[in-house]
Amino acid sequence: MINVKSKKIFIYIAVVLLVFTLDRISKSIILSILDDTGKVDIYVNSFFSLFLVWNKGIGFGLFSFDKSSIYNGITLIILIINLIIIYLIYKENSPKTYFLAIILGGSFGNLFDRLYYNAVPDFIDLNYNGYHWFIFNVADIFITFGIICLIFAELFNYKKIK
Amino acid sequence: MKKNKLYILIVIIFSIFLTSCQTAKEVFGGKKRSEQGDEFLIEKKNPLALPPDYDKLPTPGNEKVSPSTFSENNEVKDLLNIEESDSNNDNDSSGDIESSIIEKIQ
Repeated sequence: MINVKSKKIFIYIAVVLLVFTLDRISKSIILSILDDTGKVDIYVNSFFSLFLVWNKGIGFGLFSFDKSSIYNGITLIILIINLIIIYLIYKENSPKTYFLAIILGGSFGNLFDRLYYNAVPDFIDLNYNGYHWFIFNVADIFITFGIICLIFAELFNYKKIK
Repeated sequence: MKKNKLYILIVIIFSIFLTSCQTAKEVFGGKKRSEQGDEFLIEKKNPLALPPDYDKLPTPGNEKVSPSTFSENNEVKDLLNIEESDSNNDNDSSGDIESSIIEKIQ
């Protein structure tokens, strides 16, 4: 029993580390381009380009203030949410925990930037016909993927019980 | 179902805090992010137009100007209030001064 539990924990840690590493690699590439050229504004095609912006707030640029007290408060809330996710991974024993691990990996990626750079670098710019979607990063992709899977899993689980 | 809804709501709220995408202000503001090829920096110029007296300008090879055009043109003289008689008088007066100087020298 302990062996199975420890094996699962190992898999969760591997998932978290994989997501975190992929996010870090993408961000380090972008930041190296920034060091070399002074800015990141790369046109890939008419729908996709790389444009670096620094986000001090949370999702959709909310709470982007220069006040350090607000920034620290948000960082503390994110840290608490991460601890809750770790608790849920430890407590729950269902496939949902893998999705939570993906979310945790992405969240650690953004949290690292918040603590190290005091802002999160966003660089993936999707646009269509002049309309831009919110600029995001690789960690956001993983978090969004995990959240969508978690919602679907919850809905699926509800129908199964019914 | 109520528990499920609450769980989904909490998950969505968590996601807003955990994700970090760029400000909505810049996205909806219609601001052009790229500095390359900004069409608003290109100035519009007026169309080319010919000067009003373009037809009156002499054409190459036809540069002969008859003296009568100058003789009949008294606009400049009128403007300066110069009379032909005055110029004659001036010549006479200058002659008087010359002769008086010559007399004094002798």
